[in-house]
Amino acid sequence: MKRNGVQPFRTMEQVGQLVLPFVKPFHFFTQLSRHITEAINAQVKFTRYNFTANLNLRLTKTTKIDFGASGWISNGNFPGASAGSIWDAAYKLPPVVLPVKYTNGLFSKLRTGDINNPYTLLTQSGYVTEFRSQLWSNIRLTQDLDFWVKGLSITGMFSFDNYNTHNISRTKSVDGYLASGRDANGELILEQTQVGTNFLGYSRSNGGTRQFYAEAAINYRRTFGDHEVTGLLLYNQSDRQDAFAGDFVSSIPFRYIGLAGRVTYAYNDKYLAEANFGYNGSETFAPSKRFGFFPSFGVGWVASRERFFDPLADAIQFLKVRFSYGLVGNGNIGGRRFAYISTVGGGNGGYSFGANGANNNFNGVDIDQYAVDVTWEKAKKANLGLELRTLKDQVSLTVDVFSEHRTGIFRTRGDVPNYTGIRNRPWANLGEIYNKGIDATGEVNTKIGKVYVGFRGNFTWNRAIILNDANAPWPYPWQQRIGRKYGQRFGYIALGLFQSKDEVLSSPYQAGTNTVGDIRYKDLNGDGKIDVYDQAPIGYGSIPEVVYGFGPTFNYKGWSLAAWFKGISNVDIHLNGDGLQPFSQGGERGNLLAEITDRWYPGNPNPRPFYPRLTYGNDNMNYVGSSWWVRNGAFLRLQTLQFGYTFSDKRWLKKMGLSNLNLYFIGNNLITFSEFKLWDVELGDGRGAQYPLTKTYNFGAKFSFR
Amino acid sequence: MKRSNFIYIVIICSLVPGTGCKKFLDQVPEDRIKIEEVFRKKRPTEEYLANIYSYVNDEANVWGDWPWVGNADEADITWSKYPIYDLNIGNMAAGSVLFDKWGHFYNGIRSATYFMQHIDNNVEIRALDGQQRIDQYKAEARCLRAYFYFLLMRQYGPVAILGDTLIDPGAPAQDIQFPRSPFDVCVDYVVSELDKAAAELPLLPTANGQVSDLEYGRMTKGIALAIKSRLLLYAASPLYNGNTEMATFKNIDGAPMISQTYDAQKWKRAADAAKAVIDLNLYSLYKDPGGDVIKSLQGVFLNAWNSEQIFVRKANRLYEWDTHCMPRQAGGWCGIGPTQEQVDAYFMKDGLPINESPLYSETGFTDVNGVQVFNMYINREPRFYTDVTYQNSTFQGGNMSAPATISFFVSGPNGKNGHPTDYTRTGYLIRKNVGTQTNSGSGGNGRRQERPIILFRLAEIYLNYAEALNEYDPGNPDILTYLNLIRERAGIPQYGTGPDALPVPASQEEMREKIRAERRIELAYEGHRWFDIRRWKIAPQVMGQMHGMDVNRDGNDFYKRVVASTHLFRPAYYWFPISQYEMDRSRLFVQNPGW
Repeated sequence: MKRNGVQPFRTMEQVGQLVLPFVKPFHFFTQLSRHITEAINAQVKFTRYNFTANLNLRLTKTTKIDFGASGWISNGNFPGASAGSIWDAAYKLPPVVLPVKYTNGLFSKLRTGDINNPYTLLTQSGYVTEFRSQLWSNIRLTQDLDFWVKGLSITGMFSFDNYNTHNISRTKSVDGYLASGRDANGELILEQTQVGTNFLGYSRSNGGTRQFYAEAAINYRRTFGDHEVTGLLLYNQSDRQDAFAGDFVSSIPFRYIGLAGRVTYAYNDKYLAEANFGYNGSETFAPSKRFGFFPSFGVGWVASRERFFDPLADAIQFLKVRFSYGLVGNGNIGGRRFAYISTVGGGNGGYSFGANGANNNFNGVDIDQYAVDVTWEKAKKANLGLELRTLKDQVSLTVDVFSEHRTGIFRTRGDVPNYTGIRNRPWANLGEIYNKGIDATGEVNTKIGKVYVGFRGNFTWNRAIILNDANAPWPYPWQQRIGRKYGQRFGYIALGLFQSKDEVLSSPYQAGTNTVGDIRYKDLNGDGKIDVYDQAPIGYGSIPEVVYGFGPTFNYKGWSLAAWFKGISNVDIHLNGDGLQPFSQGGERGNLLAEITDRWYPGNPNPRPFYPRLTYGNDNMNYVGSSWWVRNGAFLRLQTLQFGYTFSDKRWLKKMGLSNLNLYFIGNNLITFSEFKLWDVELGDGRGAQYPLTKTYNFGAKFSFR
Repeated sequence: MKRSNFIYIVIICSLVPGTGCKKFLDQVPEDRIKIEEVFRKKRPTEEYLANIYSYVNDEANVWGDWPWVGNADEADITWSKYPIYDLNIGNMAAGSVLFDKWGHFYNGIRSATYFMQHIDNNVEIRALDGQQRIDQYKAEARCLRAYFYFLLMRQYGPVAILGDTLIDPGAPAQDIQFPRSPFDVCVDYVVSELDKAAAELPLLPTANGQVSDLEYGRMTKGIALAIKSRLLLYAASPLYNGNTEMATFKNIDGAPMISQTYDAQKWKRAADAAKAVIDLNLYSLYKDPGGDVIKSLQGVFLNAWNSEQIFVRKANRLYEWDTHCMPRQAGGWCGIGPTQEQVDAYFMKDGLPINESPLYSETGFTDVNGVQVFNMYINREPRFYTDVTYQNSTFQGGNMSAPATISFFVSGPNGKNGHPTDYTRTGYLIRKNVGTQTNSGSGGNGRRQERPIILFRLAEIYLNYAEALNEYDPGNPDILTYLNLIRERAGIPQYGTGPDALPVPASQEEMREKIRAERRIELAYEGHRWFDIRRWKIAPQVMGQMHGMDVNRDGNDFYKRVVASTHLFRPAYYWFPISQYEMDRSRLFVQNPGW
């Protein structure tokens, strides 16, 4: 084979991983949380295998074929009730209304249907196995045409990807009972509140997608003295199919085609220029609007290569300034596919006729979506960048300032009155957002004594402002969304707690029963009542404006130490939902946070406790969205810490047939710095009723064979 | 070498699917369902019509979907998790409208208009059933559209009348602006539409000229006229007839939204409309064949498709109503209770109100089959016993295998101590139209007692007629005739006739009070009271604190009137607000007063 110029190359890698989460204890009064963490650890199993194979064939001196396949297979075992529903139940059920189980062995359950006993869900709901597989495969042919035109080559590529999921559920529910007391004999008086299936049932579900992608390109690259010219013309198309589509429209393959071109010119690696275009077609637009043309250009100047820069060469080894500007089209506009055609659906529903045993039932039919004149979403993007290397190339820094003006964002029209009777609001290319930001990356690599020291860091600040949201203007300026950040949070402005009954009476009207200790809100429009017109921007919103990361690395002889910190800032968390509000709905709903002790009560000197006056039921506006419940969501987290030692060139290694041996420890999410303590800060808004981020500790050894 | 290159290039090219760009992206099939096709065929067209019908709501869900029962002075609903609770404490603003049906019914209106404009071309129906069927379907759509306008008007007052306009979904916002019309303009429009529909609709549901069981539930002439009767009764009432309290409620052009001068002819119009339904001679009050008063009163609701029912909805969620009204002992949710005010409204068995009857007492107990029943509940009229589950009354239903005495004492089996939310706050539960065969509550087997839900029945038309007639022609003998028909069926003495006759009400005012009292009882919990107390403008007096027995007590301490809850009424509450969403988009709209 070697004789024919074929060089086979193959690798196979297997990684088996067992994830054992260590869950931080809850801030609950209840013992339930302990059961959950223990049982989740016992029941949840997840294994995953990755594989990669590459084959490179050199057919002739100028012809090359690359074949690659990779993918993974995973198998998971979970309780019949999803982790989400178990957390949800734990947050909904007050800890004091039910025992985990009754003394006679029967399972407890409240009457209200959607409040479940998390212990029962966890241990008595059967199990679900989930098999997933992913395959990525591609074949690429490259033909060098140097023998014809110097610098010219063509390439073609075809890829096939396949993803499958296969779930088997063997689930059940058990009978639930509620005890109201004990009878004269001391026996529990039980009411059956849930009729369970009691035995395992069976159901199956499948999912999956497959995608074909093909491209063909002509490449040209040639240098004439100081002039370097490259050119590229690339055609591509993709075809993705949802193999288990749930409806007619999504069963139609998702298809895109595009033609892209690029010409670059560089003089002496000093002056750089490029021009690009894209001519793209998307299935989702009407035939006359399918294709869009999107040009862009860029220029660059490497100042450090200028002769006048020579005196500075000792201080600054590399300095480059670049600028690009262009128009980008987005054909994957989201929302509604094939919006250029109208659709027919089931409307509001059907109706039944027929008396005296006669049944005459009809499904409903009505226009679902009206056709609209839909086209490409466009963005004008500008980018100014600076690249710098200094201190003998030990320090490098890249800074980019960017702006993006997106127009024609596809969204539902918000200016259509309901009396038009149009069931689904029509879509239109109306949204407009201006996004600007700064992105910086820095790296230091140096050696102090015998220690190699490295440091990497990145920082992004980004702010997106809504210029048009296709909505009618709001009545008051503080309600406007236009001119504000995308994702801005709105709510009432809390002024504190009512201090006296007189204050309640003299304050603007708030719905419900309000008294001393309830949250007092600001009446922004001064109409004497607190309502939706008094909702104003509060806090930053749930999308962080600042994202950063940094980490040092140290290497000394065989020792290595690396850390990576991740942080976000200019973000906040809004608390709401079951579990936050104690005793809601008559005390039947809502777990209790440990913060319950930090509340208003007569004589509490703290003017800003965690909770206002506690009430039984939802009798006032204490738990509506307001600045009272907004918390700083910024954090800095030690995301990974790696520590290891590598043995190499040892005689005992050679005896074992090893070239080297690496012993290591990797820890994830070891330390988090945040003023938010209620739950893992990265879970964000709401009530934290999700599977939390886990801390993991991995100890490992890596053997390299000779 | 060159040959092998060629081969691979051919392979690559053949792998790239699709021959032309256009075809590759052209993939939405032509023979998918299109709205044009729907109107060419019979069955899809009938399905489109069914979709319009689907906007006719069943109002069984009185806690989350419809506020008329729980937000009046007749009943109280316990649960704080439902919007009815927020409504009663006044937690509603234009920015957060509860029970908002504005968009819902306008969707139905648009569908009906679209239907009327497209069915004429339906070749298949014309070929199979003839033009007559097309005309009938069109009239059904017209009647439905008028009904949806009426449902909007009863909740929001003046509405925007679109007529036959279908607003283009692509039109810019400034081109699709409509104003609201003064209430009387709306009334005239809806009445003319109902008249048009009534002229085309059959008396009984028919298919190809034959009365057909299969078609029951479709719009009939009687339904169109019954809607007209209720609409005109509302329009003649004090809220809409010379209501100077609403003088400042003006349209964008300054015209008063509500008529400012009283017009007695409106009452005549209302009386004539009610009489038109009666004169169809198609409907009669339901009476048990065996003559049992209790069975008559229950059968009106539980006996499907009976002679009293004018407009019913077959598919409904009455089983949820049943469950929510049943005591916990039956597996029910035990939280929809009549107020003490409503309990006090029921007559005694001598036909007199409690404050006039010598039979009434609020002290002591009477032994009924070995159970001590508070004297307040003794000697009441039959409708009290069919309508109310009270302390120590007997109930069987749901998951119960035998009748049992129902106790609402705080530590009793249905009391507040036994469950944090499922208890009645008034110490009563509604029994009227509760299907005891339903067993879909706690620990139930899911059984449902299916029956149509009544939207219009003849008893209401009688009361509409008596009320309107008394306003413009007091002393007309028909007033007593129809009022007495109701009382006769209810098993209580009539005014001026029959056994144990009561004296005829002496004046127009007295007669008005008697008619209103009768209406309150006969139509209790059927979604009338909310509108009645508004159109009579008595809501400010009757709303507010609602009373009940003391559900926080056991034993004799229970039998004491205490405040059970507050049903707030503010001057703005005569109508629901137009949502702020709609106000922001409708540049010609004026908001309802007080919002």
